[in-house]
Amino acid sequence: MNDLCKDCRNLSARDVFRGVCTLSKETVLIDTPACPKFVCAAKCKYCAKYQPSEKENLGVCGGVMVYPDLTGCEDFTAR
Amino acid sequence: MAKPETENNQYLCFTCGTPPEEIGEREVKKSACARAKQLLQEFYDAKISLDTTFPYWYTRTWQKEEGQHPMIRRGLAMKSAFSHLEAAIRPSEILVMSRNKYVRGASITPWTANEFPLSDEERAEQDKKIASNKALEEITILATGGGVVSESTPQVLSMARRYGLRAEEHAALIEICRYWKNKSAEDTCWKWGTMHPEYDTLVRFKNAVLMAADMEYGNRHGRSVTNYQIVFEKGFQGMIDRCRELIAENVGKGEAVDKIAYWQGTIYAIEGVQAWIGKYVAEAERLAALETAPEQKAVYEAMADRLAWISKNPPRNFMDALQLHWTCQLEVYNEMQGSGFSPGRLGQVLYPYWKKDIDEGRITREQTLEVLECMRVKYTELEIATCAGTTGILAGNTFNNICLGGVKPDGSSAENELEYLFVQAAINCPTVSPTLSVIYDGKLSNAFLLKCIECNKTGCGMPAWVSNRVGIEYCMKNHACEGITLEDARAWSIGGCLEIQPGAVFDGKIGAGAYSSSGINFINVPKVLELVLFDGVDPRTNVRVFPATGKKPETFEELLTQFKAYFRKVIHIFEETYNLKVSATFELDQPLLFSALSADCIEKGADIDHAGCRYNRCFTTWITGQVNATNSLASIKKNVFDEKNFTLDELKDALIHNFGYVSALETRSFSMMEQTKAVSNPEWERIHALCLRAPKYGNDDEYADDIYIEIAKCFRDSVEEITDVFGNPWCPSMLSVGTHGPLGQADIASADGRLAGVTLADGGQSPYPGTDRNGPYAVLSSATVIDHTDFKNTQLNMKLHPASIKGSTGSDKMLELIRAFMDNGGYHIQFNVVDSRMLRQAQDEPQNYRDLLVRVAGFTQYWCEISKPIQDELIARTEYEEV
Repeated sequence: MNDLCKDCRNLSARDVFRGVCTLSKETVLIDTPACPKFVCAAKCKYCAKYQPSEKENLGVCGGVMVYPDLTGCEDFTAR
Repeated sequence: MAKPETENNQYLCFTCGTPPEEIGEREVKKSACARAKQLLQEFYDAKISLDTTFPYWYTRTWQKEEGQHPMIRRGLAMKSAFSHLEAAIRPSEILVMSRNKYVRGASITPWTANEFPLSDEERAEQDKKIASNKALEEITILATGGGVVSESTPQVLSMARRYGLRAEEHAALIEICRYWKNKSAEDTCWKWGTMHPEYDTLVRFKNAVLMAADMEYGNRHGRSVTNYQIVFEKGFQGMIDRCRELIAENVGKGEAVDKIAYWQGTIYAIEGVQAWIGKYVAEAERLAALETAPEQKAVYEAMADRLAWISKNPPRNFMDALQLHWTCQLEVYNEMQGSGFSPGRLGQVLYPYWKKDIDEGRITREQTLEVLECMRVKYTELEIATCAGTTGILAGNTFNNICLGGVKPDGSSAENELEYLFVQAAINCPTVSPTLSVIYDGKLSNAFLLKCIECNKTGCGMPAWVSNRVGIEYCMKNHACEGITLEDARAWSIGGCLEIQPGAVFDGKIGAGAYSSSGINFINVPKVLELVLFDGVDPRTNVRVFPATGKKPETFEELLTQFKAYFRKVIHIFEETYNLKVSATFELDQPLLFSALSADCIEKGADIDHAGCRYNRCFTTWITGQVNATNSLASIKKNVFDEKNFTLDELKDALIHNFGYVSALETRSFSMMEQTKAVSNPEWERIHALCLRAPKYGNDDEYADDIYIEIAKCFRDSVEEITDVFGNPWCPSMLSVGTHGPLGQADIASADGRLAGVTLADGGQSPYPGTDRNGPYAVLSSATVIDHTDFKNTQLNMKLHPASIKGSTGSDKMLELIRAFMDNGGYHIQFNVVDSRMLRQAQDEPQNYRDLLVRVAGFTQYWCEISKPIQDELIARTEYEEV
């Protein structure tokens, strides 16, 4: 998977284009490739239970529709 | 394109007096504190962004809880949505929490409005069946500057021509919106509307753009005042405990099933908010652990402590109270599709906490000013997600109004030192929100009033000035049927931009407890006159709206009678169908959190949609363009019937041909200042000149003002003939917000000389730009010919050149003007203090004017985030060089 800043635990989002890296404190474009200090955010696409569906940007978890960039799930289990 | 020919503009005068040679700067210019400056820069840099987290988790739990009582289902869905929101804290914040992780973040609430994210193809099927906003959206021109995301990129999609949505979230959002098809308020309310035997008439009215937009799903709740007294007294946990007590007391009563469900649903919703606050506590603690700078570390630690405390308990001090109020504002915005959940008399509500802290040395005035400036930026960050049509009306504003001054429930002056700091914070850090309004009363001190004038001189457009006498009288009249007390009337405040909302007093303390001011969002009054002139056919689309009469009015009285009959019919159809449509929404998106905060919902066991509030007579009909209609009728009376300068047929011919000019929709110039001649036709030119010269409202001229009175009375009487879902008469209201742009685009040329597509008059009482020629006091005279206490609000905007109110003499003159208006019975007046030439420059070089603020109509907005039609109208508003 090509990880981007937007997928990093250390990104503090500002809007759909930009965020601030809480480590470097720099403003970044969130679609920039991640640096070596990347730590994956608790997103469905990084979860062991996530299954991509045939539709782009949709997936399934436990029979329920999810999407790759969904966050906040209490049952997140990193792969 | 041909150079504009403006020979007829000799009859329009856009300045009253002679402006100075140099472009005038505003007299008052202060500087925000470092923290607020940093937050403001982050705001300027941020784009308006949609997040899918809230609607996703809400919908997922809603689906899971099928079969539950609607209130319980709603409460559980809200709990899930809130508890899954991400927390984001920025280093410059003291007051913390946002609607979601983004600086200018919003979320779609598809259980209320689910159609606008769908493609045009998917929507077309629904649009054919319902009285949709499609006709309005097609003509609405939106702003493209500032934080607006008006175009898509591969990574970010532009939604409704305003919001950015990550492309990778789009598929999920569409699936969510599709789930809500035929279930949402938007998709079900029209079905209930078809109970009306004349539903097809409603569809014809909507397609003719006789009204701006349906509120029953687009902007359902708001124009209300948030109450903090209950949460300040009990805290969130205390509110949960009270709900549990009431359940226990009522579980043996079979008739209380719905109440029990309401209380339980409320418990779930509040638990969701507590979990959400807990996320911020965890994030603040995490940042404190990472932070090496001692001062910033202390800020994060204090933040964590404060948030942990207010997640359960009543506030201990001013900072707790301020944070708790802000959390309540956010929870209300997140739970509902709406705007204008105003903080009300916040300075008076917070004062006891602040006074104690000041006296006991826990806070300084400088620290207070710092956090109030930061609060201004936080409020300005608030966004709501609506379709393009509703965005055009709201002009990107959320209408959070803080009222200052007025009197206490016992009748004594309510001004206090904290309110001075509220004003100073707006002077130092002028932003869009919260807007400020002074409840003008003779008991307020001159020092306080002049402080407010100082704020006006920054050009930020606030405070607006509203009359305490009118507010109290209106409350006593309008809510007499609900047994309003004088105490509650004195505690009135403004919901949204200008709606008078009664207060609710708790142990002598000012609170709130009135239903949303919701209803018919801006009837297009000039369009009604068009239909009269063209015997029921909309001349813009050539579609029949009213049955043909085949009759031509022989006298002005006949024409006016027909106008009133059409106007009454339009009002009745809109109100009657709204009653049916809005009722469909009451089991879908109940405002549990707002209700929990409001008097007297928890004690009654009913949310606001089930008459839980103390005061419920709030369903409102608004109109726009009544000044243009007044001027047009005056022109017809004079030119066609009194002086017989031309016939009605000759007038109609000139109107259809736009007096020989190119339509504003083609030239993209939306004021009368610069219009382009298409063809020279002496007869049209003659008629146009006569129309422009005819008597106009705003000049203290009875000829026009008497017609304004007729329209206002017809409006008031027609509105009140229909009762709302609670059995109370509807309420008439006169202001424009941003509707005078899109509704003007839907109107052809009019008999007042206005050209096709040009923006209508702003507000409810402002003269048409360029037509008020007798000075500001003449405008005030015209504006006070009606009884303002008959209306939920009225609205008058005035543009003053900075030089006209310079120095202490200028301030005194401005205060004198306001006093004269209030003493004569006026309700509201607000000011733009700006040189029009600066606005022109800002239009040509927007990149150099990112922070330029202007007052539109009941709200302040950044110039770069105002659409061109409204910008043009603002430039054209008559500028007074002398007061």
